[in-house]
Amino acid sequence: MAAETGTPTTLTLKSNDDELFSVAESAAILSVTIRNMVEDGCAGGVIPLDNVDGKTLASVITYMNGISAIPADEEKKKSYRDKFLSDKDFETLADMVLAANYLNMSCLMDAVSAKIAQVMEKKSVGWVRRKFGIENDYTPEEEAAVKEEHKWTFEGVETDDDN
Amino acid sequence: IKGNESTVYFSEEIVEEILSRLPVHSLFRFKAVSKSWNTLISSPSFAESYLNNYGNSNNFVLLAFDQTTRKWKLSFTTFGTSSPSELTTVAVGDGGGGRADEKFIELPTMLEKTRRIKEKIIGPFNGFICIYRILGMPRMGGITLCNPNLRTTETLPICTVTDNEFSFRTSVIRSMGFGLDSVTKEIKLVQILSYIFRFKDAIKKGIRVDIYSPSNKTWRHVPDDDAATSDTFISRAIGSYEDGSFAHWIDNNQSVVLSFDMQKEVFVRTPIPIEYDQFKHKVKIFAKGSSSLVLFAYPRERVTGKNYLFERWELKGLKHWTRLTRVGPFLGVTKPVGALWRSRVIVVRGKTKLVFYDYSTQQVRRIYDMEGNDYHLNCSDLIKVLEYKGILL
Repeated sequence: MAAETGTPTTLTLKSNDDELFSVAESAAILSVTIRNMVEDGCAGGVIPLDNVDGKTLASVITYMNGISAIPADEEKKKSYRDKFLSDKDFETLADMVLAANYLNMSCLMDAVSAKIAQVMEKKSVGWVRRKFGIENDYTPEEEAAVKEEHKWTFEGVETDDDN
Repeated sequence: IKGNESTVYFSEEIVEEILSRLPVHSLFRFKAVSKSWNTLISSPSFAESYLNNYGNSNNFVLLAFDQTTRKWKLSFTTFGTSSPSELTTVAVGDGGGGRADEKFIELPTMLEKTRRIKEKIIGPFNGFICIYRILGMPRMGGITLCNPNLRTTETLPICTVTDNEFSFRTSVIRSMGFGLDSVTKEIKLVQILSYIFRFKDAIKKGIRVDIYSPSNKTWRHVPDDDAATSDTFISRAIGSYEDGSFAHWIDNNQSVVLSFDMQKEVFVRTPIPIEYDQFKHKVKIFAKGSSSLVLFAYPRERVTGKNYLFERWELKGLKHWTRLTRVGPFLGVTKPVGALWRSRVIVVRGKTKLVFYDYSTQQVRRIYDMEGNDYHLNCSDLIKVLEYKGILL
């Protein structure tokens, strides 16, 4: 890795819809994918991130800046993550988990996965199929049998709030 | 949503990442999402990543006797994943703080409306819990096997005992243990009857072993002449190794651990490492993983306001006891009621509180305040705290 210099290095990231973002290298290397590119010396110009759209990348950069500004205090970092994710809807969280996976950011991946789990905990089977884009491949008889087997887990399921 | 279903397509890796953070009841419900989700949720590799994520947070299963409803209750409790050093008091039903997510399952009971509780409970093992009446005479009924996940309950058929010994006026104490046949992968439920009777002015003692097979729904007597004439009396079950290879008991004199080998169907006897006078010390043993037993010894008489240390020994592979550092100090009448080995925590119980004590750092991790619920707190053995076994219950 390049030796530390007095001036903070700035990287330029490009989303798949051609938006450009400037971000401090120290924050951006929270992403292992970006860190590898920097270490390999491919970060001279613009770093293209082909799997992340501009809206999601903007959000990820907000997170990168926010979390790297917090000193090594796991408790404070956790409460920042909680607050950061608190108002995000399922679709945004889904985009973020894909981005975190692609960018190889384990702390964001963990936090978003946990948040998605929290959102879906009390949801119906139908809600999950719609949101995850899963086709029901059970026959009606098979589905009824699986549901019957775990009948008690269908207590306390929320009414779907999507349409 | 406006004609455009905003669906996302996750890789299986990401789906697994998300699902491994859901509580068990949600996972069981989502088996109905699709065949591939059912396969994923049921797979051993998922069970492993589950234990590393959700199962690794501060989860425990509390088995307790509720004195108002006079029923056994099983509660899955979660403290979430907040930092382990944090000291939090979580009251039952408290939505704030540490996200105490307590989910009750009431277990059936055969309890008669008497003051004394004559039942004990063992498990969970492979999803099953067994509740049994400890007094085994005159007919050997009174055992229930339930699977709280599947919500099934089965009253076991009567175990017929025709030995001569049992035709005399006999005092019989029952104790149970779970095991797994490593070849057939079938559950074995072992019943030990310890009996004592007077015959021609002599006191005779012995043990009788019967095994119940839940798949055949039949009892089978295991002849063991040594046990039948031994001087051992057993009423305290320790529990089983995780893999079901052995179930363990401690004899009433606290002098020997009896481990029943589920494959060979014989007892292995391991003496307690040093003599603990049963009138001065209490010995409590917990199974750890698939090859270890950990023993705690503490003074029988404890008084409020005084501090006590628990002595600690570990028995590996039923071979050698190793003395470990003492743990504590614990204040007053506390006693060990469980151990969450993954989190290096032993759980002790005071008057109304469960205290989660990290034996590696010697710090209190959590205090679980049970004030305001109706658990039976005075009687021994009516509260058990068990490691959360994730999907296997």
